[in-house]
Amino acid sequence: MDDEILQDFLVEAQEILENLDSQLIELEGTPGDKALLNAIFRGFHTIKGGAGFLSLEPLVEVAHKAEDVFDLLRNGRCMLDAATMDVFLQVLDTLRGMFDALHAARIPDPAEPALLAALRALAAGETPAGSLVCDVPTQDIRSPAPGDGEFDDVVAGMMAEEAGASPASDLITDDEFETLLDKLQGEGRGPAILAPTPAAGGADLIDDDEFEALLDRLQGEGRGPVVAPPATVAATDPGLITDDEFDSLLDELHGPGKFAPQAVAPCAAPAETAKPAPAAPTPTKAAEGRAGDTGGETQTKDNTIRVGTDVLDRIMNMVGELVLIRNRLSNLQASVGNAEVTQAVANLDVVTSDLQMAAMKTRMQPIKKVFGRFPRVVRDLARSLKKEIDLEMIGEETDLDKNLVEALSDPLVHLVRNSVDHGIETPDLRAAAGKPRQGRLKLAAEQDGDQILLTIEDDGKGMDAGVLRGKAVEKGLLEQDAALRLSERECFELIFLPGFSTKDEISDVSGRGVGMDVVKTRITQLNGSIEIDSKIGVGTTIRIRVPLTLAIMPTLMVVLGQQIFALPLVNVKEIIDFKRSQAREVNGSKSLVVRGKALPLFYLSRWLVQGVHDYAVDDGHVVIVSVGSQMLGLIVDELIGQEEVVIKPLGAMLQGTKGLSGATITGNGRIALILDLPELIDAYARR
Amino acid sequence: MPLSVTDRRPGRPLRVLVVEDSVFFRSQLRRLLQQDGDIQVVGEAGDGREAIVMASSLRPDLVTMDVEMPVLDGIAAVRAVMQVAPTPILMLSALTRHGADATFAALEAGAVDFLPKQALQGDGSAANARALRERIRALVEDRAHRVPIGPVAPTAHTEAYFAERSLLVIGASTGGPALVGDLLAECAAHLPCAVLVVMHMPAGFTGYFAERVARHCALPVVEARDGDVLVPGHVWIAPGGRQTLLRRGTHLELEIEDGAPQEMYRPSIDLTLASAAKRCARRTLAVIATGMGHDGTAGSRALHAAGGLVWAQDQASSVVFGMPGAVVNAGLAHEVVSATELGRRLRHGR
Repeated sequence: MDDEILQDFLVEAQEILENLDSQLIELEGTPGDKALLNAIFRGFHTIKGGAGFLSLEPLVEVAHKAEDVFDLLRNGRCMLDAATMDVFLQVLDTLRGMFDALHAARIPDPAEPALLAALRALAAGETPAGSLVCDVPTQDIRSPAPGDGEFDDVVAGMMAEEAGASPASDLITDDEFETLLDKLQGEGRGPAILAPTPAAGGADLIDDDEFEALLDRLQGEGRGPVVAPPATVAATDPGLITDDEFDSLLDELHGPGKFAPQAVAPCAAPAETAKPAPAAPTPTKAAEGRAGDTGGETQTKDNTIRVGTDVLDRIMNMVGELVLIRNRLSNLQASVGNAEVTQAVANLDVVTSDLQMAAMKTRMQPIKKVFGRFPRVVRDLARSLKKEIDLEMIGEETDLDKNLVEALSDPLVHLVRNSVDHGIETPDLRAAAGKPRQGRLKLAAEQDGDQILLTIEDDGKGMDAGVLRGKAVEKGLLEQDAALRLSERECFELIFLPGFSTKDEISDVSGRGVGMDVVKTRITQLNGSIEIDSKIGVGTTIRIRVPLTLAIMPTLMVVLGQQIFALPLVNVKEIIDFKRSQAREVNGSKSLVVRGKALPLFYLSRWLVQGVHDYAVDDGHVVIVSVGSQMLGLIVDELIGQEEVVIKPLGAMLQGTKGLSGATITGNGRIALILDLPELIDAYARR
Repeated sequence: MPLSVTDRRPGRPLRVLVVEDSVFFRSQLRRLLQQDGDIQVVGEAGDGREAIVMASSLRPDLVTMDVEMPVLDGIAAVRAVMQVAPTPILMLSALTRHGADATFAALEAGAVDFLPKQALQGDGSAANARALRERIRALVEDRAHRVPIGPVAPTAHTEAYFAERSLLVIGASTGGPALVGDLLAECAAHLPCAVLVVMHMPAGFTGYFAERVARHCALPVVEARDGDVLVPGHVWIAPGGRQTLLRRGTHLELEIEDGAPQEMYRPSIDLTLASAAKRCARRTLAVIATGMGHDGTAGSRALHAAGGLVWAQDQASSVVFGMPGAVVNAGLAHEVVSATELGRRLRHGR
């Protein structure tokens, strides 16, 4: 099988499958949603079509049967119930498994016979439970059978006539007939028309009224017959309808306002045909992509190509190099002081920024890729825990770096499962607490500057700081008095400690308390942060911030000794001047009181510069960083400023060095090491 | 409404707009269509609405149209395209009952022809893709257009076209479903002969076609079954994938057989006409209507020789003048008749 074609198929099919997952769950809430039923039908239909094209029989079989059932559903001849839903979720899992097999270059195994049987039963009008809910009419469209008494006489007369009136010349002989037949059959080669497929149930979906309205609009009321357009291929034909009428048509078809005025002049202004208005509320990317530049004679429009992520990574890397050179040039041109050079560098600056954005865009994917899994996750979990949960998702279209999307997937799933398992109470408990029986879980994503903010919010029982304190002490994770000193928020963060689980009974749902610390680590690795907000009885909100992209990082450049280091800006909270006299010594370790709060204080140089273990300065700067729930002050020698850097991996010699995440080249051409603060602090500052 | 006849300069590639919601299928169609270099996919629309916009801006020579699409389905799109930018439209449909339904709706809406999508997949897809390209060339080069039967003022014609016939056989292929639908809708309730429609259609489509045209036909219409006795004033549609012959039992009746797989057409107009020539030639009128190829010519020759009557549809009203043209060229047509005139005669009903 042509691998290229197979990959093309898989890309689309998997996208459809992801959509089906959430569409099915959505359908469970609104089983009568016609548009949704149609969309799901089309999803299976398209998978079937593509799989058929590639002769992937196991896939065709499942998708076809699923399509059949949805054909009944969308025509209202069948109702969806929970048992049916389970069958379809199983169908999706089966398809997923088949896609995985194809990815691994294996021919997928046929689906479980039991599943196929269940689908067959559904298509035949039975629910999995066996009761009949479908009403499939038997088709017998034959009108009064010929041979009815009424006609017999006529026929008899006809036949008599025929028999009587046939002279020999009227007939060809049997032999002649056979010869002709042979000749005809000999002539035929190749396949006869097409392989028949037995008709499945189905009915006409066209809404005639709707269409008549459309035609009226197209032609304008009271118009005479439409004249055929002149024989030309040029797209400058005035067309058969006025721009306004066409506009109305498009509005009619899509609801007003989705098309800019110029979209209505496909003939007069072909280049602008069907460009959605900038303010279009619904994404019409496909339309824009394909229809946006219609009109040329020679254009061919295949607007998507598949590009390996390695290529994108390389492009991104080279753009990174370019950014560094640009930074270097900007620095140099100041010393040259030539107006033309300044101008050229300024232009380069603009182009480089645009290029950087464009390159970043190629790697962007909507967070939907992750969110799409949640309706299913939540539904399955809620069902097994006998909870009622309404999942709301906001900002699914938010784009972020592909690597981030993938990296966020597992942590997010874990957090969502946690909310369902530990956060939201059972319906009875909720009712007892005076809350609606159905719990609410809200997932939101939004871009916030150069960060993405992800929010997971439940209206469950909330977290009890006192209980968390007690647990931490009980498990020996914390001393009693240390625990008492923790603020409420710091208590919440205890759940990120390894080996912390608050539920008395460990369920197999949220794992065994090993998850949250992993979640935390993952998010931190992405240069992100995670914070928890919770109120007893009201609910818990978890906010995750991650940078838009992993390739470029805003940093604070500092100097230690003779060397430049870059601190990820995400960790930096504030910078204050430092006088030695301000430092306090507590239990042998330094601390600094900032607005009444004592922060541990460290000389960064002692960790990072060779031979300065007892290094100290009288004046300097303190960079206050937050790492997880911890805030601390780092004394640096000199501040350079904020700079966006392109992260380069460390060479083999330095790879794995604790506290370093990479290196970069600064604007003045020097190499700076990028610090991994969580790791660094872990390695040097912990107790 | 006549379609725009695009001025195809020799050597200019044939310009096709592909309408299909599956990105995968679109790219495959593009690949298959452009294989020979003489067909160029000038646009790809992902739904019916885009199809309308692109058909009117691109003015392609032909549109291939999917049925199941978001936003606006293929049938509505056909109707709108035929209004805004009349273009030959080839439906690519699913071989299911729903697919058949939709296909006929699309043909009624003005699509000229259809091909089952399954034809493009699996084994033999190369041959079938060739057939698809052939079909597109024929549809465009025969300046395909569909002329619905126009309004006819009742005239005082007194010719009895059908009164002396027991059997009217209508043979058609490309462009046939729409034509036959129109013709049957014209049929007078008192038509004095039995009508047998032999049209190149896949199995599964014909039964539904019968059901569909029956809604607009004054006569009962059914898909033919083995042993059905021919009676006047009834219409039979020869089932797809099989052969329909005439045999003499106690009455003149239909014989349905599976046919041999190597037969090019199932149903074959030639076979039906040949058996008619043998059983009831003098009482048979054959109409060879629009269609590619030359099925019907050999059968017409047999019928002609045996004393039957043969009409051919004229070129102007044929979507593809292949089959009727072959009959005319072979000198077998007693008369060349337009679709409108055929309709008039059927309405006249004598």
